[in-house]
Amino acid sequence: MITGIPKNERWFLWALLAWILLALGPGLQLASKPVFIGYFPLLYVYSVVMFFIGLWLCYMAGYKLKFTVMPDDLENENEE
Amino acid sequence: MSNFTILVICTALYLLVCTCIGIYTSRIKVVKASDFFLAGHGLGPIVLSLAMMATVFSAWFILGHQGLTWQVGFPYIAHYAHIPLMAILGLLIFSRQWIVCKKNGYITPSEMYGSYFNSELIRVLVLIIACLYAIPYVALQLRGAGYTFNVLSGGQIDPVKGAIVLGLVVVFYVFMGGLKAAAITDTIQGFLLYIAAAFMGITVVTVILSSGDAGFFATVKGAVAAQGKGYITMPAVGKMWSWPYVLTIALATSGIYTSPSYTMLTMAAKSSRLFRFQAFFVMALAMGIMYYFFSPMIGVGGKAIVTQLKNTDALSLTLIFNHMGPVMFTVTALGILAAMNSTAAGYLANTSSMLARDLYCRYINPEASPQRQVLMGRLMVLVIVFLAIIFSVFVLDYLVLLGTLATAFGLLMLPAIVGICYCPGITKAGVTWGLIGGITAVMLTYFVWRHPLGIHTGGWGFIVNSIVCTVVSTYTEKPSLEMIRKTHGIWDKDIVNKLKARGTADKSIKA
Repeated sequence: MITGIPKNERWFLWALLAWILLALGPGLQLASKPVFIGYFPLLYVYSVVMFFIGLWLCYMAGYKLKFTVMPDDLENENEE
Repeated sequence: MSNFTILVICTALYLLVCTCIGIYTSRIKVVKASDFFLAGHGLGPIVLSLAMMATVFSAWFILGHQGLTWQVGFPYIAHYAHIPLMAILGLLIFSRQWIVCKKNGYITPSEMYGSYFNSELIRVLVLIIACLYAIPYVALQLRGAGYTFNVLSGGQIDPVKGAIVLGLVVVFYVFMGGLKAAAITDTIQGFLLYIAAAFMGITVVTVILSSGDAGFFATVKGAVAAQGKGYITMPAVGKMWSWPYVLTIALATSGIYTSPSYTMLTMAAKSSRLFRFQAFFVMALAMGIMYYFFSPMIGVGGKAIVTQLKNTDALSLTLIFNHMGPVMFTVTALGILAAMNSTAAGYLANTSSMLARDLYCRYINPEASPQRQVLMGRLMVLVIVFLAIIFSVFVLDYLVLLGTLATAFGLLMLPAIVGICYCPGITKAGVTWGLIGGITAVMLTYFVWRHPLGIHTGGWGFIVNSIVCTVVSTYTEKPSLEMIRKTHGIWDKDIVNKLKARGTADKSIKA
């Protein structure tokens, strides 16, 4: 059971898993070819594209999704 | 006046500023233990963001990453995806663990884990992991500092002496001001080290442009092509850098964010909303630009300038020593020292606080006053530095290897964090056996049979830990309903009723 993630935001976890597999996992094999695009190796171009997708996921998690943001105005009940 | 003489003068001034910050922050009145250990829960957006960045951005990046990019090539750059991954991981866990700690008055991660899982053993295991993480990581910084002084002085300064000088200053200001001093100095150092990395990139471009007419990109492309297929495809370098290794070393690196020391740093934030800014703008965007654009410029571009290196950690220093004028030389060298300084300070402050609270206050003197706790925290700084120096003398691996060993231990906390933040089904027994299995796996796959089957040590720790934790949690008693209400209940008011409806309540009540 996972707590505190609304059903309409669970897509994010699947998107994150897919991104990990593409950016760090077997997806890297897709770009592992001795080919240059302009001055840059394909693997580097692929890595940079994955970086921007990662940035977008990070933006979504930080500023669009609700489950990553907690209410701040709680009383500190038990400290010392 | 030589570059090195200017550097010595500027380093002395810089260390003096750090010392003054230590003295200034030591005058802050300690009413509660958290005033010293968590900087009074008062870190605002700029200080928190830069302190968190500077704590990650260490000798490992500035020396280790550039050298390995130079040696391994683009498969190494592929693993930089750990930067957005860490930022996202931070967003998923920091806010929740901050609010759990704030709501329940926890000061250290061991208190949080020990209390949630109602286990003294977990409390102790977290403390052990904190030390297993912090000692090699601080050792890495000290080794890096000594090495930097040695190379930049042209061999005049012994690496051990250089490490001791930097170590003494860090010890002094952390001793005096605790996390507050570490955070303030980290803020200054955060700026410095970003400038240093940018200067190194600019230097590489300038040197290449001045050495021929082919242009920067064409020259670098020629140097890359000369390295052969293994430089731009996987697996690279002795077949190690295939995707399973890239994936697992990136996961291991993410262990920085789950390590107990880093968890404690996040607890010092003024508000849980600050993590959004830190994660997106500082960690993912600013550091991402540094990793994806400046690091290849230095590491891969360096291939067109430096053809032979005895030790890959020396690339950055070779570039600085041979190709920079006095101003850039001084600023960049100071930035490198700042990177090591800030990381060592952050981990020293947090780990010493944990030892004081979770060892001394918990088991030796539970009635200790806040002032007594602070005194013990200060003494523990000395203990950790002593152990780090011993470690740095006897374990002679490259900086990157030391770094990933440390973070492999940090990643072991992930199932426990997931238990507190998302999955009430993860149990005390699951976490305990997972941690024991994970620590064993990390030790065996680093010191006995290194990275078997092309999977990094951190990956083995993660795999063993996750499987053991999941299997054991399935068959053992869940955390108490009261504890679940105090944690998961913060963001899911209906959690207790949901658990009862699922029929797991009876097991929970027994726990």
